[in-house]
Amino acid sequence: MMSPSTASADERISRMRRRYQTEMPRISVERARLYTEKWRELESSDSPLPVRTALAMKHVYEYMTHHIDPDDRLAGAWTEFFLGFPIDIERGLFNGVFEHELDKHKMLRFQLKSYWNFLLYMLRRRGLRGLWRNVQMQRRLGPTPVNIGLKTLPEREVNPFSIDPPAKRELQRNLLPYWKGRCIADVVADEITHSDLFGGDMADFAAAVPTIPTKQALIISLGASIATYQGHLVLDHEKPLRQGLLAMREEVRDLIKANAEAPAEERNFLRSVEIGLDGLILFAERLADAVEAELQRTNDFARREILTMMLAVCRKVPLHPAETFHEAVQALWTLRTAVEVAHPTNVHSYGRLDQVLLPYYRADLDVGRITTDQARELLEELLLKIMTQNIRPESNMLGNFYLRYEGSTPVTLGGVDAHGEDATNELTYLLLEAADRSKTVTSIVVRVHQNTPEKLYLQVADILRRGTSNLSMMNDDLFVPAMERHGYSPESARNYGITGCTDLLAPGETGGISFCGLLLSRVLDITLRNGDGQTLLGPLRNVGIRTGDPDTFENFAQLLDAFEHQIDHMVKVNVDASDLRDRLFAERQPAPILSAFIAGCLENKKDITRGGARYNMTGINMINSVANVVDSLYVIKKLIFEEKRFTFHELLVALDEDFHGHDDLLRRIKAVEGRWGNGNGESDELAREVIARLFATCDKYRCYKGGPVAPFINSMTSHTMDGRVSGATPDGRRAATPYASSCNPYNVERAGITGVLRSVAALDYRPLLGCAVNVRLHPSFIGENEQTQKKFTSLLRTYFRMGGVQLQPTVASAEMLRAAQRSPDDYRELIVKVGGYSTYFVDLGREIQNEVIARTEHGAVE
Amino acid sequence: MPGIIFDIQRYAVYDGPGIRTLVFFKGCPLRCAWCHNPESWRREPEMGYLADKCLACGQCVNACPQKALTLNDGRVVRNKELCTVCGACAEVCPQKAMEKIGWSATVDEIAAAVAADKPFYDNSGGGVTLSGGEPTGQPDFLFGLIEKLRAAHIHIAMETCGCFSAKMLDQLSRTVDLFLFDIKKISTDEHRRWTGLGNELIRDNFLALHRQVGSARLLPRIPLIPTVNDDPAEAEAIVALLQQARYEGEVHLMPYNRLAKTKWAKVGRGDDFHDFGELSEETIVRFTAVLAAAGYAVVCNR
Repeated sequence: MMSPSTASADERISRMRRRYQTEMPRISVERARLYTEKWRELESSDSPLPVRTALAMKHVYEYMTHHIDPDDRLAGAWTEFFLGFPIDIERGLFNGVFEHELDKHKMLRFQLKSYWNFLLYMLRRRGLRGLWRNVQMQRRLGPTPVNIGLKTLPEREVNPFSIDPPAKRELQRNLLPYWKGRCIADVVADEITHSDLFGGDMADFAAAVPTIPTKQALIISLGASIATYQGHLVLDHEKPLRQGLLAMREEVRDLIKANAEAPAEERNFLRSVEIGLDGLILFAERLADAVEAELQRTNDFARREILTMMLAVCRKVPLHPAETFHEAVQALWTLRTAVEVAHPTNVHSYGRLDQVLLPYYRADLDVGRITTDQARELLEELLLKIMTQNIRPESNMLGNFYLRYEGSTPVTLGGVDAHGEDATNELTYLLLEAADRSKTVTSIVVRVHQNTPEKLYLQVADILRRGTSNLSMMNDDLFVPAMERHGYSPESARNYGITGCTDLLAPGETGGISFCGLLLSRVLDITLRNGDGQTLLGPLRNVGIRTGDPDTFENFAQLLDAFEHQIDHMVKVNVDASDLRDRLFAERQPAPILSAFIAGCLENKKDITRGGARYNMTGINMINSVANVVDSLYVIKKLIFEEKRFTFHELLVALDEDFHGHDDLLRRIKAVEGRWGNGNGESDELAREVIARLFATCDKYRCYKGGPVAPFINSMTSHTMDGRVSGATPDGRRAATPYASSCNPYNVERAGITGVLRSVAALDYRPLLGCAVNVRLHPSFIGENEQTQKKFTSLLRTYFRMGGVQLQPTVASAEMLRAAQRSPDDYRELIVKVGGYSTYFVDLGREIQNEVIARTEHGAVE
Repeated sequence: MPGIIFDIQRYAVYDGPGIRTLVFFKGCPLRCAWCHNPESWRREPEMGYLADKCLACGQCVNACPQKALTLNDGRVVRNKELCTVCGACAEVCPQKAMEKIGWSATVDEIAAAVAADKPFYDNSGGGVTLSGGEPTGQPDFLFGLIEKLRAAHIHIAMETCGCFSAKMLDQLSRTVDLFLFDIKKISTDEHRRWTGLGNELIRDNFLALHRQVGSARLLPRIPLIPTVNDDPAEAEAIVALLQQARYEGEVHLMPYNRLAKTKWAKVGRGDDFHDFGELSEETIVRFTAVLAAAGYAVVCNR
């Protein structure tokens, strides 16, 4: 029924991938224009906020243009282009980029203003001499990265976007000026600035350092930052597939009738959900119209046949229940595309696709309606298309630290079912095969547990060996209890899915996780300075709390206590800032469309931004990094407390001067053996204690929406970016160099992969709800024959049995990665893991590429 | 009694069953012209130096407490009389052009390092593989280590060139679980030409060891070297030896490659490195066919 042969299917899929890889994404202003139009029209009306929000979005769905591509089997794109990006201008995470980075002269002005602010700040705080010293130091450390440069959005090498001149004019003249100060990103930033969250010199400093035009994250302190998006989640996909949107809308209408006497707030919420569903239904109907129009325009017989079939499917779903596999996949894609138009870059993952789609697949196979090849082809297209809604027009300031596709809307596979039994099925294998063949960067998370079949492990091993590194594994045996620990029912815990990079939640039940970042090395640095901070621009006073001058500490335990107090303070700052952000979203940016697909909202008659979901939580992401902090503490324990080689004061002087002229001290630090990551019992024990204390601190807090504050360990690319603007650390890490990424060890000596895994597994992860552990493996490590592949799967099983929670191998030799740097065109499909997500290696900026190459490679012993 | 070890490698998957840790003993009685670990030859620790990596920055010259180093024409020259192999030069070298090869370790240290990976051995049916150099060259240390590892219930494999005193046979066969026994060349004269020693002792040990432990605990391995032993005639000679021993089981081939070249240079033998050329797929197939015809299953460790 679908394509005549596998060969032409493969050709179509690789053509799509090539186009997605090589064509430049285009900025679409349609969504921003339509939303603003309706929003402003309702300005003088007395529409309650949720209703006004839903109406504005419905207006978008009513008039937006649909793109049907000649290569499509699944219909639907989120802009009028084959590869585009819609702007949710009312949230405005990227409004700053569009404001400053579409014209050279604006970029220049932005830079001059930044430099001027910086100059005034330095002269005021440090005087001419201080400024001169800083210039000298910056010269030594290499070109400064905190600079947006002069390459406009379409011109840049990493992650460019194009925009048509009329669209650009409209954006700059009409749309951006209206939303400046009004969009939620601006509101959150303003409120943070005017709150008393900044400690000591922080407010002054924050105003002086160049701000990044994107507002994805805000710095609260040297040790704390918050994300500004509303919250990652996984929608309930089963309900719309099973019932259809029309029935879901009926359900809401019944609720509205039944609640005619309810408080206005509740009625307004229900009404907003109804309008939200109206909008999605409109989107689906208009998409079908677009397919029909394409059919009328098409003369080619074969293509007409395909379009006819697509039209039948699009007329039916997602309005009505899906019955076939093709209908289920299209229903999912239509629904998700519509939702992503409303909420781009909020990161909504696909959850457990092998479970959600299974009934439809089995039904088709039973009656012979589909072949395995046809089903796989649809999945390949889906996995590629998911990736195209995972792009961000980032600021050039992040330039070399960024990439095109993030692969951070993972698909979750395998794991246990509601009763705790193995849930691996034929679709698990088919989806893995589709991921491998399509070479998508959409991350695939394979949930493993004690009873995971060897066959599944072997398929993972085989795919990894061939260099498709978009796979990671997560350990059910630890993560299911972790979910329960945070209040999830056993059934919901066993049904966990992954969103963002590596973040656990219950699909269709968790109301969006937004994150704070706890910058570990900086918090330790503040502890060593008794509450003051140090930056590459000089010292800042009172950015933390006074926890004592470490030179007066009598033992190492006192230092650990001081560090814990400082951490507690930073977590509190983080939680306060995150509550402020969540309150602003609740008060100003309701999400009726998302609320329609998250259990609890309709029952509670409450938007997800107000905590309507069945489960809520906030994440504290511990970054930059466990390894550097544990190693620093270990070095301090050995050299300052045990061997008394130098004082804290001497150490701090050396750090401030990046060890220049302190060769002896640096040599002693480097000579400390058995740091974390080498399977050394003493440092493993220290790591365990430090982590336990960090996690216990999070446990003390609750979040605004009424749920736990849960710990996560995933640095994305911040370890490179933040490392670039950080001073030296006591473990011997030099200034302006990357931190260890996520939960990776930093100073791996000779203990090999087993030593690394032993150290990583030594931590007590019980409260953790997300973690990334990267290892880079030489292909020979997995080997070509089943005998060696079984050894590899045994390695994985042992690691997970020892207490490892997550592993995401990148399988590529250093030679291969260097070759890819030299001739990117030959290595377009090479996928690597960065932080918690996967991406095409050649799309990465040079600095991140180098970081991936430098990551310790474990090769099998020959 | 400390031993001299020059490397410990983990997650070895090509040197015996399951996941294994390789412990490399320093010192070897043979001098095979194709050797992959020429740094294992000398018994004592030594300093390795790679002139190709050296920037001639002179930091090592200044760091040497014995003043044993001098810079000469862009290279570091070591006075071996003065050098105590303390490793100070390697510590300061920014290029890692200097390397200390081998260290003195106690039985307890090595046993603990091996035992750390026990969970990985247990799950995969692996263990330790004692390698080298030649493990039997340090008998006291070897048997001390074996005793410790046996007490910790760790499976023990040993790679050997077979060149050891027959007096050791009994104790070895009692304590080692699996022997990976190299068979290089059947003609003793040719053996002497390419390895420095004749092979009478090696052949006798192979036959005696097989009598004691049987085919299940003895695995013949053949390093396949172009022009030296890759012809069918040699395969037939090897078959004759195996049949004489009444060996029944797998035979492993280890095809030659040139990757050891830098290692030869590192230990100052760069000029002695001999390139044996490419080993063609066809040659391997031909060689394998002879063994297979005699009923031996062949595993090629590529």
